[in-house]
Amino acid sequence: MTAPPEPTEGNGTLRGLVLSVGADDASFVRIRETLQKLGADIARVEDVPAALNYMCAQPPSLLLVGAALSNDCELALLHKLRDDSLLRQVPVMCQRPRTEDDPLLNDLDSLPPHCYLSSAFDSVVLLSVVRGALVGNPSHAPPVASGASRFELLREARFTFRTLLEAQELAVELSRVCPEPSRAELGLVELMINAVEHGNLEISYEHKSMLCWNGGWRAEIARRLQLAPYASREVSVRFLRDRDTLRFEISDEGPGFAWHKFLDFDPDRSLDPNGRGIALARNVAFTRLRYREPGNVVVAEIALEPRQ
Amino acid sequence: MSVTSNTDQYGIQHVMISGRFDFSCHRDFRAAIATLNKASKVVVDFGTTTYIDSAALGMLLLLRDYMGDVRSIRLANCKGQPDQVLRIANFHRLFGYDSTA
Repeated sequence: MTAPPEPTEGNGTLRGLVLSVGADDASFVRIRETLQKLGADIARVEDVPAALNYMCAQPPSLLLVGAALSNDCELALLHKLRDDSLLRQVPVMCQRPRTEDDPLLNDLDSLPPHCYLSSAFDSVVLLSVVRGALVGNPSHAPPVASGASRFELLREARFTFRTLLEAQELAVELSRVCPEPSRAELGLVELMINAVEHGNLEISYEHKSMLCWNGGWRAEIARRLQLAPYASREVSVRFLRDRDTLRFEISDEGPGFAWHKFLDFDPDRSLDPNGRGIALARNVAFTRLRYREPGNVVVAEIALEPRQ
Repeated sequence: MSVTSNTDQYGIQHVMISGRFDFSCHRDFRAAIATLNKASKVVVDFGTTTYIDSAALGMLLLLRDYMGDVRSIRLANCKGQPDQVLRIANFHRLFGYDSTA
C-alpha cells in the first residue's frame, strides 16, 4: 500500500488527496468547487469496491461518502474501513439526509474512529472537516503504510503470475519496497504487462496496434489466456536487494522479441497507440534496464541512496 | 477510474478522468470517445487524474484519431505523475497542453 505525501500547508493552500465515493455529478461539482479553495487534490470513484481498491493503492487524507450510495453500501464500506488496521485511520465524512431509523445511527459504535456525519451538503462544514484532515492533526494524518518498513527487510523473493490484473497487483506491492513507489509501480506494470501480452501470449507489436484501434485488446488477452500453449505459461519475477541496488528480474516463457528498438521513444511511431511502455519504464522508473537475449528476460534496477 | 463528460455553454466538450487512467480503462474511455461530437473542441481534464500509464497514452491517440483534427483537442490541468508521463512521452507537443504543475 502506497502512502500519500504528508499534507503540507503554505501560501494559504493545503496539499493532500480527498477521495469522493457515491457522489452524483451535481454534488461532485460542488465538492470540487469547495475543495479547490483549499488547493486539495480530489479523486472520484463510483462504488464501494472501487473505493476500497483505490484506498488500498493510495490511502487518501479524507474519504467523502455521498448519498448516491445506498444506506447498506455506506454501512458496509464503513465496516470494511473499521476492520482494516491501516484504512481505519482515514477520516471519513458521510453526507446524506438521515431519518431516525437510519441503520448507521443505530450502529454508531461500529464506525471507524474518525467518522463525521453531515445531514446535508454544507460547504462550510465540508471545508472545516477537510481542513482538519489535511492540516496535520496527528490523529488525522494520512496513514503510513507500516508495510514499507517490513519490506525493507526483504532481501530476495520470487513471484509468478499469469494475468494483467495479477501483474498490476504485484507491481503495486513490489513498488512499496522502492524509494519512489509511484515511479516504480509504473515501470514494473509496463514491464510485467509486456511479459504477459508480448511474451507469454505472443501478441506482436502490429497485432497489438490493430487490437487497440478496433477495441479488441482485452478480449484477445482473455482469449489467449485460455488457449494452448499460452494458457500454461507464467511470468516469473525475481526480486533482489543488496546494499545499493533493488533488482527486478522479469522472465516470460515466450520466444523473445526485438527489444532494441523499444528502449527509446521513436518519432516514427509517435502516433501509434502502443509501443511506449519500455521507454516509459526506462525513463521514469529505473536507473538501469537491460534485456537478455532473445528478449524474454528483462532486468530492471533502481539505485539506492547510501545509508546515513 | 471514472470518465464523465459534459458540454459547456460555448459548446466545448469536457472529458474528466478521475483516479487512475490505465490499461483497465480501455472500454470506458472508448465508450466516452464514441459520444463526442467531432465538430466541436474537446478538453481532456486531468485535474483529478492521479496516475496514467502507456495504455492511457494510447487511448489519447485513439481520441486524436477519432476527432481527426489535433487542433480540436486540449489536455488540461495536467499535474503530478500524469504531467510527468505526458511530457516524457512528448504528448505536450502532440496535443494542446495546459499544465498546472
